[in-house]
Amino acid sequence: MLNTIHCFNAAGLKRFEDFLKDTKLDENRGLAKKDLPSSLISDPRYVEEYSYDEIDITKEFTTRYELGKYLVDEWVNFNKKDYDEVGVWAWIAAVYFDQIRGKKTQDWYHFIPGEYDQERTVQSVGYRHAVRTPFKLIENQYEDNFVKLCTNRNISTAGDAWENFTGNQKVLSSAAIRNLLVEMYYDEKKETFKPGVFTNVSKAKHKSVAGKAGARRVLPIIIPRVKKSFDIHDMDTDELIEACGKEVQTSKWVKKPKIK
Amino acid sequence: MPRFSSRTNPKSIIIINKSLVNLTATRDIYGLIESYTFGGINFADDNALLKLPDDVEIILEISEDKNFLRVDLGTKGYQNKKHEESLDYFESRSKLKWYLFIKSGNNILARIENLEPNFPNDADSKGLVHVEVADLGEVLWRVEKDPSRPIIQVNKCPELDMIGKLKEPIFRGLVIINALEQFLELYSDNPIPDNTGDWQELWKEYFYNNNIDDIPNESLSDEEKHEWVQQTINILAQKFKLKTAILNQNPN
Repeated sequence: MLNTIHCFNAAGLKRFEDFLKDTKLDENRGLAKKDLPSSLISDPRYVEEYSYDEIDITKEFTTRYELGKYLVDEWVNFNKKDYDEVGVWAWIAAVYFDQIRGKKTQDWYHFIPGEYDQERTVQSVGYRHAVRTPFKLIENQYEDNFVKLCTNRNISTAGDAWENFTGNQKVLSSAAIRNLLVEMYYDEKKETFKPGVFTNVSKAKHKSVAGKAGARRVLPIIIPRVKKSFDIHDMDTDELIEACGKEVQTSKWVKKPKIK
Repeated sequence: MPRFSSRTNPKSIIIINKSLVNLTATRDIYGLIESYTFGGINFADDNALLKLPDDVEIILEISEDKNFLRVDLGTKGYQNKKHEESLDYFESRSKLKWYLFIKSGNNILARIENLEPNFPNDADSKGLVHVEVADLGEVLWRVEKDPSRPIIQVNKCPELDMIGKLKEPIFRGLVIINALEQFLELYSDNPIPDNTGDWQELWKEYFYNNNIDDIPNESLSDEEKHEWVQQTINILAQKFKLKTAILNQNPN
């Protein structure tokens, strides 16, 4: 069913926020999840028309990547300023709420962009928005495999790649790092990240390979170490793998040994 | 201090002395870093830097948690000076890290990590203790125990004016010694500076100038480190006389 893109007004945002708060409270008490009132996305007291572009509000998606792709295609008059319109992103999240919602309802900023209430968020959580983030990655033409790496999980989950990469400007601003992440951690068949990428290194078992050269080592430890000796900005993936040293070169994440 | 170490600097990258980099910054009324000015690197006063060819490139990377900005500062032969460049790009601007390096191709030839800009409008910018405002929600203050540079963060709420309050004896008394204790705990775990101008160097100089024993240059147990921190904090408390300052302010 096609519907022009709408946005929540202040009352609509408050209503949606209250609903999210209430259902979380219930779920924390062991009660059933509340249903989002279906009228919320069309009630003129809460919403107003935002764009003449139309979206199918009954369409179903398997992943947030698919959702993002669909919206980028349909929202043809999108303007960069629209990224700052909290109400429109919250409205779209409400439209597809039943699909995006997890087994337990996620925190409010997965549905309403974090800047809606900065007092309640010590750090920026805008990247956690379930709709805006995949839309942004696709609309800004990040490499398709990188976007899939981050967003191509079941639509009701964000996942570790989303959490670790999509809000990290060090990743988003560096094609070299993004290409490295895709080369090492992206499963081309499953079109998402490989299992074990985010496993922590066991401090107790030094000989264990679990977590070695995984994302939790590469981004916070290995890349900063490489950056002491190399400007990685213009490096291609093979050069960067070589610069990362043996832990990466000999890891299971690298297809061929890169030691020269 | 040796300029090169085979353990920490196997590629013999030149460590740039902070005094050779003309980098300043300004803060807005809330204490957030507002803009920076790059006035150039003084290559002439360092033999190793002087020998670098004219076409080596200068890059400045400014980062804050997950945000990152890369600035091309030209070459040695033609430095691209910047004047009051806005830092609006960063969300909180309370704790920026500055990394400047000189490169040829992909190889870094010289670098300075944890480069701290000078704040010409701050009286105390070169002090041992940095204070910056941050989004802390309901928390009034905390110590960000970042091994590269610990900072006292205070709540950015303008109505609270935490920066102003820290000048009052009662607030200094309530905050400073506890904060210093956390600084010293971090110092006891990371006493060796990686680069010239690192925060540990300032503390070493302070201990030396004030006849305070630095932490022994050997591996210590947690208990021994704790003991050193407690001894040192007692000396600092005696020195600062924060309680006396409050009593003198309110004699009744």
